[in-house]
Amino acid sequence: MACISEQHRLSCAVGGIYTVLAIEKFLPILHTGPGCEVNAAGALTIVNGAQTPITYIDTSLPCTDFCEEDIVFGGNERLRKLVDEALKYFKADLAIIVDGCAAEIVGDDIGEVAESFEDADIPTLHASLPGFKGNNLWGHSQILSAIIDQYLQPSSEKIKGLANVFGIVPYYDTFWETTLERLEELLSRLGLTPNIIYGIGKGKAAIDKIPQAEFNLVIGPWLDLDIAKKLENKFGAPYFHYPVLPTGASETSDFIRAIVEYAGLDKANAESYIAAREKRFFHKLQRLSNTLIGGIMYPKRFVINASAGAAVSIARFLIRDAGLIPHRIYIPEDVPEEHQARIEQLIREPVYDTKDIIDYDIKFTDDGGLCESEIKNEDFSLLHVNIFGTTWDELLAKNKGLPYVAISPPSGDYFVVGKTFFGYDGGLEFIRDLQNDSIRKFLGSGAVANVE
Amino acid sequence: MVKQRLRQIAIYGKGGIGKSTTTQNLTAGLSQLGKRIMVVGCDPKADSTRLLLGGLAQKTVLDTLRDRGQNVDLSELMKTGFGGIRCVESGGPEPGVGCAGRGIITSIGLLENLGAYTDDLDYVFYDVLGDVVCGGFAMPIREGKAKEIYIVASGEMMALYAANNISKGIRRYAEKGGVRLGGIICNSRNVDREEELLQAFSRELGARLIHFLPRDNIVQRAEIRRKTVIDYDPDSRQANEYRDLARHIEENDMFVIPNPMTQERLEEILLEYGLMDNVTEDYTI
Ligand SMILES: Nc1ncnc2c1ncn2[C@@H]1O[C@H](COP(=O)(O)OP(=O)(O)O)[C@@H](O)[C@H]1O
Ligand code: SF4
Ligand SMILES: [Mg+2]
Repeated sequence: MACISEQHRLSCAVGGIYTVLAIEKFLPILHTGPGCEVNAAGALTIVNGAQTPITYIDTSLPCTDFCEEDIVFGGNERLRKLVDEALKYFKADLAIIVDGCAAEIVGDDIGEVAESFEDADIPTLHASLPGFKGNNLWGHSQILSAIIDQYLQPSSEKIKGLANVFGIVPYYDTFWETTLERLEELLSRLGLTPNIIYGIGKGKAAIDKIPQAEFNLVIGPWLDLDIAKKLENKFGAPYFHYPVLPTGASETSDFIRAIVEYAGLDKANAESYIAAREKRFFHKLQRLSNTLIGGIMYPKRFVINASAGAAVSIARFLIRDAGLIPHRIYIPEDVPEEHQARIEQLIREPVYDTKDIIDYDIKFTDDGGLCESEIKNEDFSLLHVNIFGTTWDELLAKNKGLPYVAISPPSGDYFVVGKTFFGYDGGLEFIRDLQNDSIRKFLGSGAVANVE
Repeated sequence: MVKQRLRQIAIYGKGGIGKSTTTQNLTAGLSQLGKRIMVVGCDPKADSTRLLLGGLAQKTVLDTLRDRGQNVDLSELMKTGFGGIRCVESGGPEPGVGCAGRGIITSIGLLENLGAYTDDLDYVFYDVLGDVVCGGFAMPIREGKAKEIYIVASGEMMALYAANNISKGIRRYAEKGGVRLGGIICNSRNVDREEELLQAFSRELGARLIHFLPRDNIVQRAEIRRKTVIDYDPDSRQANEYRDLARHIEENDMFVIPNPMTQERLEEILLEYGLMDNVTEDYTI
């Protein structure tokens, strides 16, 4: 991790509690300073599509409020008392004790505390989430690992067609809830039984089914691959890694064909679904195309400053379905080096048959401000670009009068509600967002100003 | 006559080298020169003031904090012992839990809040556990606290390793906070050519060997009776040694930024004085 970075797009490891909060009736119990939760919430909730928790309110979670006395004397005993009370009060299906920097530095043993509740009615696990060890994505992985290692038991019986779905990090991915709902719909329609653990109506029942899955589907360029490998080792279920969360027709149809092939599903059924959806998609896209590619003012090129998942999905969609051209791509997600080449390849893979593609950079960084510092002095007055990124990039886009769409956390300034860029409709949703912002910036107040 | 500025002194050195014994005897000596002194034990063992208090034990700062929070009276934490010396023990968490280093920071902060550092004091001594093992144990030498440090060492290899390491810690704070090494106190372990070795070691550091304390069983006899040697047998030779040390410190005007050695150089010096040949011998007390 860099020592100095700007424009944070990740929270510290304590952000992992939002993975717990995305599972119905799963309760995080915090052995952290009073501000740690707020810190994580800052990047993942209010300024990220104005998300709120599912079961337990994040601002009133049980927390020891680890203070100076706990640092000096150790806070295990206070934690034990808190867990005891919390288990009675919250009536959770499962509790996970987590700690932050201070408790980890002084060596408090949350594992010992969790084990002392072995006989409690509510399974009580533990996961260390000190910010000095990693970001919220690492924290997310710690939480899933704790559930797998400390709670799940191997099952001799596998259910045909049952597939656990991983790769999307709840809360961090602004659109996770609706994406997962649509993904569930799609996979069910293709004949699979998707097992999704986050969101309403899932909870412990879904978690308990994980060991019975025939395979694990990891969707997205790199997240949760470690979890799929862990599940393979522990439960013997293979995993299918599909590295793109598809947006738009070309990508979604490819995804459908790949999963149908892998899981041996009904191809004819899939093809008729694809045909119908593509027809609808391209019809609607065509109706937009006059303004999309006709107006000379509309930028044909785009800058992305976003998570690897969003960058891959949106870049591939725009190149393949909308004919737009990458200008620069930044991935400020602290992506481990082992995954970077694959992600770069995914973005560069779709090619045009035209010659007007100029070479462009793809940069992996943990400095969210790198993009702004590099492009703020570029002159876009003749050759406009679109900017796709986070709330941070929205400011830059506003200053430069360039079209902008929020594709990555933190995405402030709007309520996410039922929004997603996943699938056929997700592609249209994206184009609509882009059009609306373009019109506002190029025809709206600007035109009025010109007339005057 | 203008009153001399308060001198805050920290005593460092390897565990068991004799920091507490020396600090208490030396402060007893200073008290006989009419000095007003506070001794702050910065070791979770809380045994830095036992000889001065003669069995009378105060509650440690941290025990009090744990039981009652910050609402305490200084008089419970500070007891007056031999020669009017005010004695405080920082104390610490139970072994294996919490952070003793932070405990020291917390308790010195509390002592300040409670007004322990009064204007009439001539000296405050901090008797600090073992080595500068973490930032907490460097608390007494951070800005605004002890500016003067003495390292207790002997001719034993490990004592010198520790002394050299402590010098590295001092150097770090010297550049910023004005901390200086006042000298090395040799607390003899009856090692061959010990004084020569310590002279050479101190020279290499650029510091002064401020005093050579002989090893003497009278220290143990006094200790069993919970007394400093000065209190137990004021006319003994060892009592005079401690009084000499006190005078040397009172008169000391050589405060340096030490030049810690590389491991290789330290070993060279040890070899030169024949110590390496002797390491199989038993130095235990
Ligand atoms: N000069 C000395 N002669 C004999 N024994 C000594 C001398 N200095 C210290 N000791 C003994 O060494 C032991 C350890 O000393 P102590 O002051 O507790 O070490 P520290 O505080 O450095 O851990 C004590 O029990 C004391 O009796
Ligand atoms: S970095 Fe550490 S102290 Fe800061 S919020 Fe995260 S866990 Fe808490
Ligand atoms: Mg001691």
